Amino acid sequence: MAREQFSGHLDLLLLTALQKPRHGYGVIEHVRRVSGGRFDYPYGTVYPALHRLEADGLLRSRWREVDGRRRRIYEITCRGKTALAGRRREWEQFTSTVAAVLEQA
Amino acid sequence: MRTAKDQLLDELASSLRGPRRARRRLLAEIDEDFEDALRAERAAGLSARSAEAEVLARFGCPDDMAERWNGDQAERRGAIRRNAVLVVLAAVIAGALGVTQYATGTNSPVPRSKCIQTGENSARARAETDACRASAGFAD
Repeated sequence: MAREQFSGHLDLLLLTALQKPRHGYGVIEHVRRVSGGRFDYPYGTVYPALHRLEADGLLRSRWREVDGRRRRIYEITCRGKTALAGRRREWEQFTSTVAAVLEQA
Repeated sequence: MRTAKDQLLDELASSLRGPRRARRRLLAEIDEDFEDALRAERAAGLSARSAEAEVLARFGCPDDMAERWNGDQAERRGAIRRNAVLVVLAAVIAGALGVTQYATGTNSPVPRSKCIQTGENSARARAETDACRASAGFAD
C-alpha cells in the first residue's frame, strides 16, 4: 500500500481510538482488539504517526503517572475532532461509492 | 547484561534523526510500552524468553520505523525552511517598496482627505475644497 494511503487509514483509526486518552501501546492494543485482530499494526509504525498527528495539532500528549510508572498519554484535540469528522465522512463516501460500483458490475 | 529491548533502543537511537528532545521522548515512550507489552505476554502464559521474542516480532523492523520517523522530520524541516524563505522574501519586497516610495516622494502631496469636507454638500464647501486642492497642486 502506498505510504500516503497507509498513513490515511492509520490516522483515521488512531484519531478514533484517541477519543479516549491512551498511551501508545494502549492505542495499538485497542485497535487490534476492536478490529478482531484484523488491524494488527507493528508497534513501530504507530509512534511516528502519533508524533506527526501531535505536530499537526490533532493530538496532544503529556507524561502521566500510571500504576507507578511514567507514561506518555495521548488524546484528541478539538482540531483533531473536526479532522476526524471530515475523514470519517470521506471514508463513508468512499466505501459507499465502491459498494455502488461493485453492485453494478 | 543487555536485553533485547536495550538492543532495540540502541538501534533506534543510532537511526533516528531530528530534534534531540523529540528523539529522547520517543525512546522513553517505547521503553515503557515495551515493558507493558512484555507484562501482557507473560500474563498470557508465555515464558520470559518467548514474551520478549513475541514483543520484538510485534514491534516490527526498527529500520521501517526509523524511515517513517526520519521522513516526517525531513518534511517538517522542509516546511519550516519554505516558510522562512517566504518571510524573508516578503521583508525584502516591503523594504524595496519603502525605498522606492522614499526615493520618488520628496514633495509628497497634501493628503486628499484633508481637502474633503465630509458631510457638506454646499456650493461654499465645494469651492473651499477646490481652493484647497488647487493650492496643493491637484489638477482636476
